[in-house]
Amino acid sequence: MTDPDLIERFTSLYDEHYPRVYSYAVSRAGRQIADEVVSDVFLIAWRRLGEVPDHALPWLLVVARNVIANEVRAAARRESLAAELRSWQSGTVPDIADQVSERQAVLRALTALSDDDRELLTLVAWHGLSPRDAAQVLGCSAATYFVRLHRARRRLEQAVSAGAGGPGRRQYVAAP
Amino acid sequence: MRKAIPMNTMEMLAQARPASLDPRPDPARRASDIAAALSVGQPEPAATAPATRRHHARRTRAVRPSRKLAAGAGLTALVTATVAAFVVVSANHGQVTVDHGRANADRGQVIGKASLRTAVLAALDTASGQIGYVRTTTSANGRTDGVAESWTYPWLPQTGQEVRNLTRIHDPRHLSDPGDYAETETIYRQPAAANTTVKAEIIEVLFKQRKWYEQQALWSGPQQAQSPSYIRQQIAAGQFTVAGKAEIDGRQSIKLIIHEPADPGLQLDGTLWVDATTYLPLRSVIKSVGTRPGGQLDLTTVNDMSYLAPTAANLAKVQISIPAGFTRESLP
Repeated sequence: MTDPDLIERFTSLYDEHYPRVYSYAVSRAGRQIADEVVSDVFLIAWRRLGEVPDHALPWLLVVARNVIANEVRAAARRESLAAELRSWQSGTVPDIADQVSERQAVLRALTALSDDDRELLTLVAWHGLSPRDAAQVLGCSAATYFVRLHRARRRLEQAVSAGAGGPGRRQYVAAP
Repeated sequence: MRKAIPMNTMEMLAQARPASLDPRPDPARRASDIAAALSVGQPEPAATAPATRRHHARRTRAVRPSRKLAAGAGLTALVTATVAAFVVVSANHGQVTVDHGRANADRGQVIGKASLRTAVLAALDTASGQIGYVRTTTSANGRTDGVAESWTYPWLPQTGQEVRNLTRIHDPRHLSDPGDYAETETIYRQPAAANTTVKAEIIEVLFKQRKWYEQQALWSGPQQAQSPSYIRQQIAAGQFTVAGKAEIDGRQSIKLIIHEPADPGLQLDGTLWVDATTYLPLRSVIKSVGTRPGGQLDLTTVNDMSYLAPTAANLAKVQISIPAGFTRESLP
Protein backbone atom coordinates (compact mmCIF):
# COMPACT_ATOMS: atom_id res chain seq x y z
CA MET A 1 0.00 0.00 0.00
CA THR A 2 1.47 3.38 -0.96
CA ASP A 3 1.66 6.27 1.45
CA PRO A 4 -1.03 8.32 -0.30
CA ASP A 5 -3.28 5.29 0.01
CA LEU A 6 -2.62 5.30 3.74
CA ILE A 7 -3.50 8.98 3.93
CA GLU A 8 -6.69 8.37 2.03
CA ARG A 9 -7.64 5.48 4.24
CA PHE A 10 -6.94 7.50 7.33
CA THR A 11 -8.94 10.52 6.22
CA SER A 12 -11.84 8.26 5.27
CA LEU A 13 -11.62 6.62 8.67
CA TYR A 14 -11.65 10.03 10.30
CA ASP A 15 -14.56 11.34 8.25
CA GLU A 16 -16.64 8.25 8.86
CA HIS A 17 -16.04 7.74 12.55
CA TYR A 18 -15.17 11.11 14.03
CA PRO A 19 -18.76 11.95 15.09
CA ARG A 20 -19.23 8.69 16.96
CA VAL A 21 -15.82 8.73 18.59
CA TYR A 22 -16.56 12.29 19.68
CA SER A 23 -19.96 11.26 21.07
CA TYR A 24 -18.40 8.43 23.01
CA ALA A 25 -15.70 10.75 24.35
CA VAL A 26 -18.29 13.29 25.49
CA SER A 27 -20.41 10.67 27.22
CA ARG A 28 -17.42 9.17 28.99
CA ALA A 29 -15.27 12.20 29.65
CA GLY A 30 -17.28 15.35 28.99
CA ARG A 31 -16.99 18.03 26.37
CA GLN A 32 -14.10 19.78 28.06
CA ILE A 33 -11.61 17.10 27.14
CA ALA A 34 -13.48 15.27 24.37
CA ASP A 35 -11.52 17.04 21.64
CA GLU A 36 -8.24 16.01 23.25
CA VAL A 37 -9.41 12.42 23.52
CA VAL A 38 -10.50 12.34 19.87
CA SER A 39 -7.17 13.78 18.75
CA ASP A 40 -5.30 11.10 20.69
CA VAL A 41 -7.53 8.35 19.34
CA PHE A 42 -6.88 9.30 15.75
CA LEU A 43 -3.19 9.78 16.36
CA ILE A 44 -3.05 6.22 17.61
CA ALA A 45 -5.22 5.08 14.72
CA TRP A 46 -2.75 6.64 12.29
CA ARG A 47 0.24 5.07 13.97
CA ARG A 48 -1.43 1.67 13.98
CA LEU A 49 -3.40 1.97 10.79
CA GLY A 50 -2.42 -1.52 9.73
CA GLU A 51 -4.19 -2.92 12.78
CA VAL A 52 -7.42 -1.04 12.31
CA PRO A 53 -10.02 -3.53 11.08
CA ASP A 54 -12.46 -2.74 8.30
CA HIS A 55 -15.22 -2.62 10.88
CA ALA A 56 -13.33 0.06 12.74
CA LEU A 57 -15.70 1.63 15.23
CA PRO A 58 -15.33 -0.88 18.09
CA TRP A 59 -11.54 -0.73 17.68
CA LEU A 60 -11.59 3.07 17.82
CA LEU A 61 -13.81 3.05 20.90
CA VAL A 62 -11.49 0.62 22.63
CA VAL A 63 -8.66 3.06 21.98
CA ALA A 64 -10.83 5.94 23.22
CA ARG A 65 -11.67 3.98 26.33
CA ASN A 66 -7.99 3.45 27.08
CA VAL A 67 -7.07 7.02 26.31
CA ILE A 68 -9.76 8.17 28.74
CA ALA A 69 -8.54 5.70 31.33
CA ASN A 70 -5.04 7.10 31.11
CA GLU A 71 -4.29 8.24 34.60
CA VAL A 72 -2.41 11.28 33.30
CA ARG A 73 -5.71 12.92 32.49
CA ALA A 74 -7.78 11.43 35.31
CA ALA A 75 -8.27 14.67 37.24
CA ALA A 76 -9.24 16.62 34.14
CA ARG A 77 -11.57 13.84 33.14
CA ARG A 78 -13.34 13.80 36.50
CA GLU A 79 -13.94 17.53 36.33
CA SER A 80 -15.05 17.45 32.69
CA LEU A 81 -17.35 14.48 33.15
CA ALA A 82 -18.93 15.93 36.27
CA ALA A 83 -19.68 19.13 34.33
CA GLU A 84 -21.16 17.10 31.49
CA LEU A 85 -23.38 15.07 33.78
CA ARG A 86 -24.52 18.19 35.61
CA SER A 87 -25.59 19.63 32.27
CA TRP A 88 -27.63 16.49 31.57
CA GLN A 89 -29.23 16.67 35.00
CA SER A 90 -30.09 20.32 34.79
CA GLY A 91 -31.36 20.12 31.25
CA THR A 92 -29.13 22.96 30.13
CA VAL A 93 -28.10 21.04 27.07
CA PRO A 94 -30.06 22.52 24.16
CA ASP A 95 -32.38 19.91 22.78
CA ILE A 96 -35.79 20.03 21.21
CA ALA A 97 -36.99 17.37 23.63
CA ASP A 98 -36.05 19.37 26.68
CA GLN A 99 -39.63 19.82 27.72
CA VAL A 100 -40.23 16.13 28.14
CA SER A 101 -40.02 15.43 31.83
CA GLU A 102 -39.64 11.71 31.27
CA ARG A 103 -36.53 12.35 29.29
CA GLN A 104 -35.09 14.43 32.08
CA ALA A 105 -35.97 11.73 34.57
CA VAL A 106 -34.06 9.16 32.54
CA LEU A 107 -31.06 11.43 32.20
CA ARG A 108 -31.04 12.17 35.91
CA ALA A 109 -31.29 8.48 36.67
CA LEU A 110 -28.47 7.73 34.27
CA THR A 111 -26.17 10.21 35.95
CA ALA A 112 -26.84 8.48 39.26
CA LEU A 113 -25.49 5.17 37.97
CA SER A 114 -21.89 4.05 38.04
CA ASP A 115 -19.54 4.82 35.16
CA ASP A 116 -19.60 1.15 34.18
CA ASP A 117 -23.38 0.91 34.08
CA ARG A 118 -23.65 4.14 32.15
CA GLU A 119 -21.17 2.92 29.57
CA LEU A 120 -22.92 -0.45 29.23
CA LEU A 121 -26.23 1.23 28.55
CA THR A 122 -25.14 4.05 26.31
CA LEU A 123 -22.90 2.02 24.01
CA VAL A 124 -26.05 0.50 22.55
CA ALA A 125 -28.66 3.18 23.25
CA TRP A 126 -26.66 6.26 22.25
CA HIS A 127 -23.70 5.14 20.22
CA GLY A 128 -25.55 2.66 18.07
CA LEU A 129 -23.30 -0.33 18.65
CA SER A 130 -24.56 -3.85 18.32
CA PRO A 131 -24.33 -5.91 21.52
CA ARG A 132 -21.44 -7.85 19.98
CA ASP A 133 -19.55 -4.62 19.20
CA ALA A 134 -20.34 -3.23 22.64
CA ALA A 135 -18.94 -6.41 24.18
CA GLN A 136 -15.79 -5.95 22.13
CA VAL A 137 -15.38 -2.40 23.39
CA LEU A 138 -15.77 -3.56 26.98
CA GLY A 139 -13.47 -6.51 26.47
CA CYS A 140 -15.95 -9.19 27.41
CA SER A 141 -17.99 -11.87 25.68
CA ALA A 142 -21.40 -11.09 24.21
CA ALA A 143 -23.01 -13.37 26.79
CA THR A 144 -21.32 -11.54 29.64
CA TYR A 145 -22.33 -8.24 28.12
CA PHE A 146 -26.00 -9.28 28.04
CA VAL A 147 -25.91 -10.28 31.70
CA ARG A 148 -24.30 -7.02 32.70
CA LEU A 149 -26.67 -5.04 30.48
CA HIS A 150 -29.65 -6.72 32.10
CA ARG A 151 -28.42 -5.72 35.55
CA ALA A 152 -27.64 -2.19 34.44
CA ARG A 153 -31.12 -1.83 32.99
CA ARG A 154 -32.62 -2.93 36.27
CA ARG A 155 -30.57 -0.36 38.14
CA LEU A 156 -31.57 2.34 35.66
CA GLU A 157 -35.25 1.45 36.07
CA GLN A 158 -34.89 1.59 39.84
CA ALA A 159 -33.17 4.94 39.60
CA VAL A 160 -35.90 6.28 37.34
CA SER A 161 -38.56 5.06 39.76
CA ALA A 162 -36.73 6.55 42.72
CA GLY A 163 -36.38 9.86 40.92
CA ALA A 164 -40.06 9.93 39.97
CA GLY A 165 -41.07 10.05 43.63
CA GLY A 166 -40.09 13.64 44.16
CA PRO A 167 -38.44 16.69 42.71
CA GLY A 168 -35.19 16.16 44.53
CA ARG A 169 -32.17 15.35 42.39
CA ARG A 170 -29.20 13.31 43.29
CA GLN A 171 -25.99 15.22 43.16
CA TYR A 172 -23.64 13.39 40.87
CA VAL A 173 -20.00 13.07 41.71
CA ALA A 174 -17.91 11.47 39.01
CA ALA A 175 -16.19 8.31 40.07
CA PRO A 176 -12.43 8.61 40.46
CA MET B 1 -59.89 2.23 25.99
CA ARG B 2 -56.62 0.45 25.62
CA LYS B 3 -53.76 1.61 27.74
CA ALA B 4 -50.63 2.72 25.85
CA ILE B 5 -47.77 0.29 26.05
CA PRO B 6 -44.97 1.96 28.02
CA MET B 7 -41.61 2.28 26.33
CA ASN B 8 -38.91 0.02 27.63
CA THR B 9 -35.94 1.46 29.42
CA MET B 10 -33.58 1.25 26.47
CA GLU B 11 -36.00 3.07 24.18
CA MET B 12 -36.48 5.80 26.75
CA LEU B 13 -32.75 6.05 27.14
CA ALA B 14 -32.21 6.24 23.39
CA GLN B 15 -34.70 9.09 23.16
CA ALA B 16 -33.01 10.92 26.01
CA ARG B 17 -29.70 11.15 24.18
CA PRO B 18 -28.35 14.68 24.80
CA ALA B 19 -27.61 16.84 21.79
CA SER B 20 -24.27 17.73 23.37
CA LEU B 21 -22.95 14.38 22.15
CA ASP B 22 -23.08 15.58 18.56
CA PRO B 23 -20.03 17.44 17.33
CA ARG B 24 -20.48 20.71 15.56
CA PRO B 25 -19.06 20.92 12.06
CA ASP B 26 -15.62 22.43 12.42
CA PRO B 27 -13.36 22.22 9.37
CA ALA B 28 -10.44 23.65 11.32
CA ARG B 29 -10.68 20.82 13.83
CA ARG B 30 -10.73 18.25 11.08
CA ALA B 31 -7.73 19.83 9.41
CA SER B 32 -5.79 20.05 12.66
CA ASP B 33 -6.56 16.48 13.70
CA ILE B 34 -5.51 15.08 10.35
CA ALA B 35 -2.47 17.32 10.16
CA ALA B 36 -1.44 16.37 13.69
CA ALA B 37 -1.73 12.68 12.90
CA LEU B 38 0.14 12.84 9.63
CA SER B 39 2.91 14.90 11.17
CA VAL B 40 4.03 11.96 13.31
CA GLY B 41 5.24 10.12 10.26
CA GLN B 42 4.46 6.79 8.74
CA PRO B 43 2.16 4.29 10.44
CA GLU B 44 3.85 1.34 12.05
CA PRO B 45 3.47 -2.20 10.75
CA ALA B 46 0.54 -4.15 12.16
CA ALA B 47 2.36 -5.97 14.91
CA THR B 48 1.65 -4.06 18.08
CA ALA B 49 -0.48 -5.80 20.65
CA PRO B 50 -3.39 -3.90 22.18
CA ALA B 51 -1.67 -4.08 25.53
CA THR B 52 0.76 -1.38 24.39
CA ARG B 53 -1.91 1.22 23.70
CA ARG B 54 -1.14 3.33 26.75
CA HIS B 55 2.44 3.46 25.69
CA HIS B 56 1.29 4.74 22.30
CA ALA B 57 -0.93 7.31 23.86
CA ARG B 58 1.92 8.75 25.83
CA ARG B 59 4.44 8.60 23.05
CA THR B 60 2.26 10.33 20.51
CA ARG B 61 1.19 12.89 23.06
CA ALA B 62 4.64 14.39 23.01
CA VAL B 63 4.48 15.25 19.31
CA ARG B 64 0.86 16.29 19.15
CA PRO B 65 0.48 20.06 18.89
CA SER B 66 -1.69 21.61 21.54
CA ARG B 67 -5.30 22.42 20.81
CA LYS B 68 -4.50 26.10 21.16
CA LEU B 69 -1.79 25.86 18.56
CA ALA B 70 -3.97 23.87 16.21
CA ALA B 71 -6.84 26.29 16.52
CA GLY B 72 -4.76 29.40 16.28
CA ALA B 73 -2.38 31.15 14.04
CA GLY B 74 0.13 28.33 14.20
CA LEU B 75 -2.16 26.08 12.24
CA THR B 76 -0.83 27.21 8.93
CA ALA B 77 2.67 26.39 9.98
CA LEU B 78 1.48 23.05 11.26
CA VAL B 79 -0.18 22.06 8.03
CA THR B 80 2.76 23.38 6.09
CA ALA B 81 5.09 21.26 8.15
CA THR B 82 2.79 18.32 7.77
CA VAL B 83 2.41 18.43 4.08
CA ALA B 84 6.07 19.27 3.71
CA ALA B 85 6.70 15.66 4.53
CA PHE B 86 4.71 14.76 1.45
CA VAL B 87 6.13 17.29 -0.95
CA VAL B 88 5.14 17.05 -4.56
CA VAL B 89 8.10 17.22 -6.86
CA SER B 90 7.13 15.88 -10.21
CA ALA B 91 4.16 14.77 -12.19
CA ASN B 92 3.06 12.83 -15.17
CA HIS B 93 -0.11 11.62 -16.80
CA GLY B 94 -2.39 13.41 -14.41
CA GLN B 95 -0.85 11.93 -11.31
CA VAL B 96 1.69 13.69 -9.23
CA THR B 97 4.79 12.11 -7.82
CA VAL B 98 5.60 12.95 -4.27
CA ASP B 99 8.79 12.69 -2.33
CA HIS B 100 8.17 11.79 1.28
CA GLY B 101 10.89 13.95 2.64
CA ARG B 102 10.86 12.46 6.12
CA ALA B 103 10.32 8.77 5.69
CA ASN B 104 11.03 8.00 2.07
CA ALA B 105 13.54 10.55 0.90
CA ASP B 106 14.70 8.50 -2.03
CA ARG B 107 11.43 6.91 -3.01
CA GLY B 108 8.98 8.73 -5.21
CA GLN B 109 5.32 7.99 -4.58
CA VAL B 110 2.26 8.82 -6.59
CA ILE B 111 -0.35 11.01 -4.97
CA GLY B 112 -3.86 10.46 -6.18
CA LYS B 113 -6.54 12.98 -6.83
CA ALA B 114 -8.30 12.11 -3.59
CA SER B 115 -5.21 12.75 -1.49
CA LEU B 116 -4.59 16.00 -3.28
CA ARG B 117 -8.19 17.02 -2.69
CA THR B 118 -7.80 16.29 1.03
CA ALA B 119 -4.56 18.23 1.26
CA VAL B 120 -5.89 21.26 -0.62
CA LEU B 121 -9.11 21.36 1.41
CA ALA B 122 -7.16 21.13 4.66
CA ALA B 123 -4.90 23.96 3.49
CA LEU B 124 -7.85 26.11 2.44
CA ASP B 125 -9.59 25.58 5.75
CA THR B 126 -6.41 26.33 7.59
CA ALA B 127 -5.93 29.63 5.76
CA SER B 128 -9.58 30.62 6.00
CA GLY B 129 -8.91 33.18 8.73
CA GLN B 130 -6.03 34.85 6.96
CA ILE B 131 -6.01 37.90 4.74
CA GLY B 132 -6.10 36.88 1.11
CA TYR B 133 -4.20 39.05 -1.33
CA VAL B 134 -5.04 38.69 -5.01
CA ARG B 135 -3.43 40.54 -7.86
CA THR B 136 -5.63 40.30 -10.90
CA THR B 137 -4.53 41.07 -14.42
CA THR B 138 -7.06 41.02 -17.21
CA SER B 139 -6.35 41.02 -20.88
CA ALA B 140 -8.41 41.00 -24.04
CA ASN B 141 -6.99 39.41 -27.17
CA GLY B 142 -3.55 39.38 -25.57
CA ARG B 143 -3.51 43.02 -24.51
CA THR B 144 -3.55 43.90 -20.80
CA ASP B 145 -6.53 46.06 -20.06
CA GLY B 146 -6.80 46.06 -16.31
CA VAL B 147 -4.88 45.47 -13.12
CA ALA B 148 -6.42 45.18 -9.68
CA GLU B 149 -5.18 44.22 -6.27
CA SER B 150 -7.47 43.11 -3.49
CA TRP B 151 -7.14 42.23 0.15
CA THR B 152 -9.95 40.24 1.74
CA TYR B 153 -10.41 39.38 5.40
CA PRO B 154 -11.24 36.73 6.29
CA TRP B 155 -10.17 35.07 3.12
CA LEU B 156 -12.67 32.21 3.32
CA PRO B 157 -15.49 33.53 5.53
CA GLN B 158 -18.20 31.54 7.21
CA THR B 159 -21.80 32.30 6.32
CA GLY B 160 -22.93 35.45 8.12
CA GLN B 161 -19.40 36.53 8.99
CA GLU B 162 -18.44 40.13 8.31
CA VAL B 163 -16.08 40.41 5.38
CA ARG B 164 -13.86 43.35 4.53
CA ASN B 165 -12.45 43.76 1.10
CA LEU B 166 -10.23 46.48 -0.21
CA THR B 167 -9.70 46.56 -3.94
CA ARG B 168 -7.27 48.84 -5.71
CA ILE B 169 -8.07 49.24 -9.38
CA HIS B 170 -5.69 50.83 -11.80
CA ASP B 171 -7.46 52.73 -14.53
CA PRO B 172 -7.15 50.53 -17.59
CA ARG B 173 -6.79 53.57 -19.82
CA HIS B 174 -3.85 54.89 -17.85
CA LEU B 175 -1.96 51.88 -16.63
CA SER B 176 1.31 53.69 -17.17
CA ASP B 177 0.29 56.33 -14.64
CA PRO B 178 0.85 54.79 -11.19
CA GLY B 179 -1.12 57.59 -9.53
CA ASP B 180 -4.26 56.91 -11.50
CA TYR B 181 -6.11 54.38 -9.46
CA ALA B 182 -9.14 53.96 -7.26
CA GLU B 183 -9.59 52.11 -4.01
CA THR B 184 -12.84 50.61 -2.87
CA GLU B 185 -13.54 49.31 0.59
CA THR B 186 -16.51 46.97 0.79
CA ILE B 187 -17.93 45.58 4.00
CA TYR B 188 -20.61 42.93 3.85
CA ARG B 189 -21.80 39.75 5.48
CA GLN B 190 -20.98 36.52 3.76
CA PRO B 191 -24.11 35.15 2.09
CA ALA B 192 -25.07 31.50 2.40
CA ALA B 193 -25.09 30.92 -1.35
CA ALA B 194 -22.67 31.94 -4.06
CA ASN B 195 -23.64 34.61 -6.55
CA THR B 196 -25.98 36.25 -4.08
CA THR B 197 -26.44 40.00 -3.95
CA VAL B 198 -25.73 41.36 -0.48
CA LYS B 199 -26.11 44.70 1.23
CA ALA B 200 -22.75 46.34 1.54
CA GLU B 201 -21.14 49.48 2.84
CA ILE B 202 -18.91 50.84 0.14
CA ILE B 203 -16.37 53.64 0.25
CA GLU B 204 -14.53 54.55 -2.92
CA VAL B 205 -11.58 56.88 -3.24
CA LEU B 206 -10.46 58.20 -6.63
CA PHE B 207 -6.85 59.22 -6.17
CA LYS B 208 -6.28 60.97 -9.46
CA GLN B 209 -9.41 63.04 -9.06
CA ARG B 210 -8.80 63.56 -5.30
CA LYS B 211 -12.37 62.74 -4.33
CA TRP B 212 -14.31 60.03 -2.53
CA TYR B 213 -17.82 58.88 -1.92
CA GLU B 214 -19.66 56.54 0.35
CA GLN B 215 -22.77 54.50 -0.16
CA GLN B 216 -24.77 51.58 1.09
CA ALA B 217 -25.70 49.43 -1.83
CA LEU B 218 -26.44 45.99 -3.04
CA TRP B 219 -23.28 44.26 -4.11
CA SER B 220 -22.89 41.20 -6.22
CA GLY B 221 -19.93 39.81 -4.28
CA PRO B 222 -16.55 38.76 -5.57
CA GLN B 223 -16.40 37.34 -9.06
CA GLN B 224 -17.22 33.70 -8.75
CA ALA B 225 -14.30 32.21 -10.59
CA GLN B 226 -11.74 33.96 -8.43
CA SER B 227 -13.50 33.66 -5.09
CA PRO B 228 -11.93 31.25 -2.62
CA SER B 229 -15.39 29.87 -1.83
CA TYR B 230 -15.76 28.86 -5.45
CA ILE B 231 -12.31 27.29 -5.57
CA ARG B 232 -13.08 25.35 -2.41
CA GLN B 233 -16.43 24.23 -3.74
CA GLN B 234 -14.92 22.90 -6.96
CA ILE B 235 -12.10 21.12 -5.16
CA ALA B 236 -14.47 19.60 -2.60
CA ALA B 237 -16.72 18.37 -5.38
CA GLY B 238 -13.76 16.82 -7.16
CA GLN B 239 -14.38 19.04 -10.16
CA PHE B 240 -10.76 19.12 -11.22
CA THR B 241 -8.10 17.15 -13.00
CA VAL B 242 -4.48 16.98 -11.92
CA ALA B 243 -2.49 18.24 -14.87
CA GLY B 244 1.09 18.01 -13.68
CA LYS B 245 3.62 20.27 -12.08
CA ALA B 246 4.77 23.77 -12.82
CA GLU B 247 6.92 26.48 -11.35
CA ILE B 248 5.14 29.68 -10.41
CA ASP B 249 7.46 32.55 -9.52
CA GLY B 250 10.12 30.09 -8.46
CA ARG B 251 7.79 27.94 -6.38
CA GLN B 252 6.98 24.34 -7.12
CA SER B 253 3.29 23.94 -7.75
CA ILE B 254 0.69 21.45 -8.91
CA LYS B 255 -1.43 22.38 -11.86
CA LEU B 256 -5.12 21.59 -11.71
CA ILE B 257 -7.70 22.01 -14.42
CA ILE B 258 -10.90 23.22 -12.82
CA HIS B 259 -14.00 21.92 -14.48
CA GLU B 260 -16.11 24.99 -14.99
CA PRO B 261 -19.88 24.65 -15.20
CA ALA B 262 -21.22 24.84 -18.71
CA ASP B 263 -22.12 28.38 -19.63
CA PRO B 264 -24.02 28.77 -22.88
CA GLY B 265 -22.39 31.29 -25.14
CA LEU B 266 -19.18 31.45 -23.16
CA GLN B 267 -16.42 28.91 -23.19
CA LEU B 268 -14.58 28.92 -19.86
CA ASP B 269 -11.24 27.31 -19.16
CA GLY B 270 -10.03 27.49 -15.58
CA THR B 271 -6.61 26.45 -14.36
CA LEU B 272 -5.42 26.54 -10.78
CA TRP B 273 -1.92 26.12 -9.44
CA VAL B 274 -1.52 25.11 -5.81
CA ASP B 275 1.72 25.37 -3.89
CA ALA B 276 3.38 21.96 -3.74
CA THR B 277 4.41 22.57 -0.13
CA THR B 278 1.47 24.34 1.46
CA TYR B 279 -1.23 23.21 -1.00
CA LEU B 280 -2.64 26.73 -0.99
CA PRO B 281 -3.74 28.26 -4.30
CA LEU B 282 -1.00 30.33 -5.90
CA ARG B 283 -2.50 31.32 -9.21
CA SER B 284 -5.66 30.87 -11.19
CA VAL B 285 -6.15 31.64 -14.83
CA ILE B 286 -9.58 31.89 -16.36
CA LYS B 287 -9.82 32.06 -20.10
CA SER B 288 -13.04 32.72 -21.88
CA VAL B 289 -13.83 32.95 -25.52
CA GLY B 290 -16.74 35.06 -26.62
CA THR B 291 -17.69 37.08 -29.62
CA ARG B 292 -17.90 40.77 -30.29
CA PRO B 293 -18.79 42.80 -33.34
CA GLY B 294 -16.06 42.18 -35.85
CA GLY B 295 -14.54 39.08 -34.39
CA GLN B 296 -13.70 36.83 -31.49
CA LEU B 297 -12.92 38.13 -28.03
CA ASP B 298 -10.43 36.16 -25.98
CA LEU B 299 -10.48 37.24 -22.37
CA THR B 300 -7.91 36.10 -19.86
CA THR B 301 -7.92 36.75 -16.13
CA VAL B 302 -4.86 35.90 -14.08
CA ASN B 303 -5.17 35.90 -10.29
CA ASP B 304 -1.98 35.67 -8.28
CA MET B 305 -2.73 34.81 -4.67
CA SER B 306 -0.87 35.08 -1.41
CA TYR B 307 -1.81 35.05 2.24
CA LEU B 308 -1.12 37.37 5.12
CA ALA B 309 -1.49 36.73 8.82
CA PRO B 310 -4.20 38.93 10.35
CA THR B 311 -1.81 41.12 12.31
CA ALA B 312 -2.71 44.73 13.07
CA ALA B 313 -0.32 45.92 10.38
CA ASN B 314 -1.78 43.60 7.77
CA LEU B 315 -5.38 44.31 8.75
CA ALA B 316 -4.68 47.97 8.04
CA LYS B 317 -4.33 46.98 4.39
CA VAL B 318 -8.01 46.01 4.37
CA GLN B 319 -9.08 49.42 5.70
CA ILE B 320 -9.34 52.34 3.36
CA SER B 321 -7.57 55.57 4.14
CA ILE B 322 -8.89 58.83 2.75
CA PRO B 323 -6.10 61.35 2.30
CA ALA B 324 -6.57 64.82 3.74
CA GLY B 325 -7.88 67.37 1.29
CA PHE B 326 -9.91 64.94 -0.78
CA THR B 327 -13.44 66.06 -1.55
CA ARG B 328 -16.45 64.00 -0.60
CA GLU B 329 -18.77 63.68 -3.56
CA SER B 330 -22.47 63.02 -3.57
CA LEU B 331 -23.61 60.15 -5.63
CA PRO B 332 -25.59 61.08 -8.68
